[in-house]
Amino acid sequence: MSFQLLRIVASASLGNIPTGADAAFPQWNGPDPTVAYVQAILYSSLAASLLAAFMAMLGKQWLSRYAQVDMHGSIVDRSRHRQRKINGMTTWYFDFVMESLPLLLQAALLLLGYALSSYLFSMDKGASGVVIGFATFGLLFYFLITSAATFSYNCPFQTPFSLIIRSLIRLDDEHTRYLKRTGKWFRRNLFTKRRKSPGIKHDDYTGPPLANAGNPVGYIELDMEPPTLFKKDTDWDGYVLDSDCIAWMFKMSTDADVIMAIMKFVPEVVWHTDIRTTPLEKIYDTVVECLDRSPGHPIVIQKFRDKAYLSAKALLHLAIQRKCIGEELDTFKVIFDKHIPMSPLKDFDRDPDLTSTLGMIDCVFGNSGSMRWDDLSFTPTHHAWMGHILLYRAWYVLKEDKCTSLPSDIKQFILHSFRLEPPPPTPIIADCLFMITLLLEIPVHRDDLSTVDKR
Amino acid sequence: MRSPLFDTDSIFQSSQIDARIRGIYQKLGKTFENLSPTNDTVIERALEALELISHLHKDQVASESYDLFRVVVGTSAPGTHSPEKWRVSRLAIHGAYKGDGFAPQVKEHQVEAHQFKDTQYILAFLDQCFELATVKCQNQDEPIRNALCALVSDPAAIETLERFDPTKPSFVRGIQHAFHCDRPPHLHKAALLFLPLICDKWFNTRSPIMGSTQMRKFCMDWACAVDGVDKTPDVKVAILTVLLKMINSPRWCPHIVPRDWELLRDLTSLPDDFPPLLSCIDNPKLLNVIKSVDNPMAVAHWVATLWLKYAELTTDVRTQLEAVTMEIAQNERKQYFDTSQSRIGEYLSIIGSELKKAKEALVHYPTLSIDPAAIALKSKVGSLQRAAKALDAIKQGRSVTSP
Repeated sequence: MSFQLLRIVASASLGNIPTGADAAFPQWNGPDPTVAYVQAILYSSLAASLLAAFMAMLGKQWLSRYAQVDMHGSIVDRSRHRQRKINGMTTWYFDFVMESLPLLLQAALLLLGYALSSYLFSMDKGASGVVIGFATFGLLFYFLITSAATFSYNCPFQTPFSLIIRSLIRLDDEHTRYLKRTGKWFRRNLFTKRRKSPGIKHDDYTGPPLANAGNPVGYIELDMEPPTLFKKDTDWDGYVLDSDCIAWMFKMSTDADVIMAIMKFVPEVVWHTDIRTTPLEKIYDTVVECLDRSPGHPIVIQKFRDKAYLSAKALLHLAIQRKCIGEELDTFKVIFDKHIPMSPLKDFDRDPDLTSTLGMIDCVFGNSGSMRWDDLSFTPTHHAWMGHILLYRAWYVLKEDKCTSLPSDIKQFILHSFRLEPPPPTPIIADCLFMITLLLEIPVHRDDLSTVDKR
Repeated sequence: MRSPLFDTDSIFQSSQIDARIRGIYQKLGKTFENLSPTNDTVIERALEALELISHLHKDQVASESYDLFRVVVGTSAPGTHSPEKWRVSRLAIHGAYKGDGFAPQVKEHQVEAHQFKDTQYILAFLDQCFELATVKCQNQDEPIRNALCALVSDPAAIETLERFDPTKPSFVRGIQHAFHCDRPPHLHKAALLFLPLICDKWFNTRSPIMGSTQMRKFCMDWACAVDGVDKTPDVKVAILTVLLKMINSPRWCPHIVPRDWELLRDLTSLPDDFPPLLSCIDNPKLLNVIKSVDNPMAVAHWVATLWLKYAELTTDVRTQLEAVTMEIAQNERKQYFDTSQSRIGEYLSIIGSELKKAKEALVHYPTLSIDPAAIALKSKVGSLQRAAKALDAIKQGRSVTSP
């Protein structure tokens, strides 16, 4: 047809006006426009289906790579590796991409229904009514289940659309908490800035020289917020990853070895404010599981001794750090309510490391406040760890609880450490001196309170 | 695992610990300089901190505690804060002298063109502790012990104590309290070491510093303290100094506990020019007093000591010595067949052993050495040889030729 038209135009431009049959415009002899339109839609449907199939194959490869288990390293290393992969999937919206596959198929089905309805409507209205009816019913059903799934997370008829809408408006408890925390962070920052504005006094500085007279970089005062307790260049994201690992391992395994590995790992983490949830209550329950309560006062079941020790250490480390920064107060309240004394009443010196840890748990959750440190001769490693834990406790008591003196358990610990012959290792002395420094409200350098170097 | 616990590259080097200790003491110094009623909470916190850090066994803590003690005792606290002042002083002096090892040197300092010895501060503190212990019946064992240790470690203490009256009743009561039998051994030891510093004024006074009953009680307490402590060389010297001063005092000598006379056997370990001994051997009345003591070993040990100093004795004492020794020899001849096991034989053996030691020491010097030590040794050898000769004559029943 185009060729015919070109020939008419060329003849006319040369002065040969076509006449008769030659002058008649060519007629369309291809398929009906409706058919072409319907076919375009059908091809689109086909393309969407093929694209979905192609991506499904790729997705299978991606999932296969994800499912590969790296057998090298400890449980913790493997867990970190796994956590890194899952974090990558979250960061790169893997789930979103995978969720888009059914969307493509649903789009293909929609296009197919539309094309058929449209084609049949042009052919026979009665016949098309059946198809249009089914298509409308399908659409309506899809709309209803999407709405139900959007408003209720527990609804089993989740669709990709409902998940997308939920993620956009963030209605679940987790995100509600996240919003609250964000607000809290803003309020705290504003509050800190207002308080810092008069300038920090540094008459009493005795440490390394200040960066400049008006702005003592690196120094902190007790008035500042608890996060300064942690070292500035701490690998915050790394600890978030570690905390996720721990949460996942707790969720996925009840194996005794895995639990022990988790408990050993917990004191390695700095549980800072950016870590949103912690297994505090789970660890508390794990400690309680290791105790026999039948004799009246709980005693440690001997075969669970190692588990009891590691989980007690994990609990104390986690509880004191979180308490120190004012996090998870609700969980603390729950534990306070159900806490029963854990430290043994007799044979106090049989297992000093475990006894001292359980005793400190009683001090933290039961406010018992007395420890017979002089009766205990624990290992240097445990002694150093305990010193570091008590440094956090001293911070909390003096700063958060606004006490004007150190609690008895800390004082007795310092005296016990100072009186030891031969003297304990330097890190323990350093921790004890920091506790005294905190008591005297002497400004300290934030590196001094680094958790990394003293563990 | 992250960084190891005892990593030598850790940021917590000793120097940083020292800097932290210095910082803490600077803060404490600033707080206690101004014991005003407006900063009670700060003072309470500082007291608590001092109570903790004073127990740390480090030389730097001892030095800093001593400096803090000087600052605090030198301040004039308002009436309401006087108890705090003494509490801080007690804690600070505990930090300084708690250990048996390092003891900070007592210093001198200049205040408004006057030279003060810190000894005066320590004596003022000791007075306060004695008052609390004897009048208010408070347990002040540790502060008293620390103050006594401070005075003992102070080379200038003797000079200051010359201007101090240790015979005033409150001080005497305090010292008696420190020697009381139920006091702990570490307090006894400090008191034993301190007593030689004041014994001249205690045992050589014109009028007695205490009654006869109290003297007897004190001597019994002193004997109890002597029995309870380890006889380290410095303690031994202190004990013998006091014992010799007591022996040389007509008022005190009768009250010495009989078993204490046996301590005289250690006199041979004292240096030759030990002043209390030199003043005793010149006392012509002493030998007769000792003969009357209810312990036969007293005269035996004293005679042995005198024979070692034979050449240095005055004529009176030497004559008495020879007479007493002859008496002993005659008695022994009646009792023993084998005289080698007699008392005289024992004296000869002691002299022989001392002679051997002196000769061995003399070997290290040239024959014609004019070194004072060599000259003293030569003199000692000569003296001992003469003593041995005289004693040998007595043993054989001959008369001793006077030198």
